[in-house]
Amino acid sequence: MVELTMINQFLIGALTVGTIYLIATLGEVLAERSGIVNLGLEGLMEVGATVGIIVAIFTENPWLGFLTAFITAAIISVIHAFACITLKLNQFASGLALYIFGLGIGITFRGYARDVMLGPKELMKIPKIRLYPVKIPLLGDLPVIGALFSLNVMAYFAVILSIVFWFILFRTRIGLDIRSVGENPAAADAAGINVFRLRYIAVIIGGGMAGLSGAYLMLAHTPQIMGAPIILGRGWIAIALVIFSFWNPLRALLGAYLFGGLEIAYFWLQGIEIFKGVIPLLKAVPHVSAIILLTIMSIEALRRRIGAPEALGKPYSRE
Amino acid sequence: MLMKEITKRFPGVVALDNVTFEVRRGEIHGLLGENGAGKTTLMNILYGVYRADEGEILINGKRVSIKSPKDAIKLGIGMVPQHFKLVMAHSVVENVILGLKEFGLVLNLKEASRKIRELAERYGFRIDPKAKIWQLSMGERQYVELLKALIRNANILILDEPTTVLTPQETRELFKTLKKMKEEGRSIIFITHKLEEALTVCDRITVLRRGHVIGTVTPQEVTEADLAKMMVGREVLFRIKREHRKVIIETPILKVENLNVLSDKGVLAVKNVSFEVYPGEIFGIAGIAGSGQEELAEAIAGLRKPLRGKIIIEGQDVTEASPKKIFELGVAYIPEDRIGVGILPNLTVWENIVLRHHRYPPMAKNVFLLDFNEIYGFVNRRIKELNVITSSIFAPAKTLSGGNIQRLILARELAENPRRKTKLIIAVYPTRGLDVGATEYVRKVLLRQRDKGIAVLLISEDLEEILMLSDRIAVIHNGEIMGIVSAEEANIEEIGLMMGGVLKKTSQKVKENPKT
Repeated sequence: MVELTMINQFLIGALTVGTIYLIATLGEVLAERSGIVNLGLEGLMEVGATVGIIVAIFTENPWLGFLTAFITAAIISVIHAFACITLKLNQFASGLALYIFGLGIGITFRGYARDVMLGPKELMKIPKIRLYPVKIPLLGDLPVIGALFSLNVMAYFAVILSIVFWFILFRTRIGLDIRSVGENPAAADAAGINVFRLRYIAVIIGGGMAGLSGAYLMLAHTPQIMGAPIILGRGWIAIALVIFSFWNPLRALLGAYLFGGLEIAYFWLQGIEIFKGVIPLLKAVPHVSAIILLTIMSIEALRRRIGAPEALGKPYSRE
Repeated sequence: MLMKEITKRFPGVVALDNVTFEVRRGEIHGLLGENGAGKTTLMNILYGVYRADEGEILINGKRVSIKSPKDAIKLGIGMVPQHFKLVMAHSVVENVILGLKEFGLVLNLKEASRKIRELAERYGFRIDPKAKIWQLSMGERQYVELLKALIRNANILILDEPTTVLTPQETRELFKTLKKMKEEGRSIIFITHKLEEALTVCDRITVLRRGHVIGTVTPQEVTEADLAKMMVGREVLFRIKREHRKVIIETPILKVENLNVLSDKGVLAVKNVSFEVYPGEIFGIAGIAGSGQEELAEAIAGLRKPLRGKIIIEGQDVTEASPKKIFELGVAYIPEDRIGVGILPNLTVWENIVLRHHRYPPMAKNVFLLDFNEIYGFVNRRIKELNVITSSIFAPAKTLSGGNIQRLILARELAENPRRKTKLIIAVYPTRGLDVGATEYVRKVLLRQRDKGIAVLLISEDLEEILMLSDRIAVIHNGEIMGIVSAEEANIEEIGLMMGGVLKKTSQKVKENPKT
């Protein structure tokens, strides 16, 4: 029975942390399906985390925190969209700039908020605005799979979002338009589709999702207000997960929870003496796999074979 | 449909000068002209890609304004572009309904597939709506483009050089389809530079030359020679005179054995290909574009590592050799992608000509320094020899015209020095996109080199060019050599069947052929 509870706890942890990855990955899948890579996820997530927690504290409402985090990150993504789509600049350069920018303002404002804006009274509110797991009666008590029914509301919402994203991308007209724009913008343009508008929309929503993911990390996983990075490379892993999922929102579920599970695993193993030595190695697993996946994507031939959008990373201009 | 007194200027040139062009209901109207004559520009104006500076367009007697392809589609104008605009990774049905609203926000692919099958049946061709575009042949892809226009109810269909990518048999099928469409009252504008096709399929033909309409004629009143004269403005020699050369078959310059090469996509593009090329012959490889020719040429030039098999040049195994080594052996490579691979567009003409030669004396004084006197002398000699027309040898190579870029590449690749004699020329689509004058020139250069005893491997999608130049012809289909025939016994019908993968000649026959 003890073991069962442990497995249950582990799954809840994995799914909760996996949701951070899932939300960010979904946004990036959308942007990349339209042909634009956004390497700024990590930065946007820091911004989302900051905005999310501060707004939630002041309004005492986590949902307003999520909303404002989404909107703020979406607005910042306009810079990236403008640079890549209108100015046709290098998407990788622009994405890296966005990352540094987001990281900087995200951390700075969080530090500033803690030191200047928030008193002990406000900090006391943190436990109140936090998202707690909601156990669904009966189903939540089942052994092992009960974990699936003992999550916070956003985690459920993220699952629904993946289904919705998949449905939109693969079953609707708008989805076909987005995929075509990412594969062959000239063909889409000839068919009367507004390539530029669609890419803007995809990049902005995709960026907003990164903000949402950052806010989720703060409000559902580790609420804390420090002037230090808290995303810790998860944004980069989310970019790698897009490749892992073959640009498919449903496969993103798998990758996100797998990496969520890894994160929980080394968190737990830390407490066990014999694993002390391997913890740093385990911690490196997601990052190393991210590097491998990103390297794979940079090899043209491999990229085509795994089905990357053909026009990914290439600006479109009418000839 | 009437386009009246259309004038279009681009910076520095008048692309169309007072052109009036009329198409009647239910006719196939040929639009004939050389490259750069203004055919495509005229059609792009009709399709809303460009706007005319002067003139008007009337449809059914009513004046219309076409600002974008969207307007054109609404007016019932459809275009099958020369370079297909299809999403390779998507299915036929997804491509056909792209941009259409009638199949709902949540796509009803079943309904769309049914409609596609219905249309295909009506016009007598077959297509699987679920197939992905990359799995289809070029001919099938063309039908997908046609379907896109048909499902949008195009009554005026523009086909831009539709037969370049087709086998003779596929061309005939296409003509049948076009005739059916014509009988239904649709008008078809057929852009081409192939005279014979224009005469077979068109009801009327309008000839453009340098932005002017030279005349509109019916096939009954003219001959091929008349049309050619209208197109070029002078008499054209149809056949470059060639005597058959006796090929010395003892020692091949190039020997390819069971070669297998992967494409960028990781699929086998060249499958177990074997052949030999002898000194003093042009060995033509015929086939539809994308049948593995590019990969084959790249493998021989050392730009693509073969998966299996052997490449032997003059007895030396060069399967794993670098492009530099292969170049040093006397191989000249004229790549398919003239601007992307053939030159460094932003560098000057002289740099582009001396490239590849600059590392050897006398161009290089020593390991570090170049000898500029030597280089400029060399470049000027090469430019003169191949008639490269450029404002200066210091002009960026990208400022040259297509024909001159090709001459520049020839000037570089065919340059010899005491250490390096040209022995083999690999020419991939050497005349693609060139005007008649430049085409003639390139062909003459190849023949001249052959006469000097150099082996030429000629890859072309233009069957006429292959038949005109080659001493022996190999036909490639889907990465496989379907047969090798000598020029005398070549029969266009048979080659067409081999290009389409219908006919395969046994390798026994192949071995006999060189003796002719």
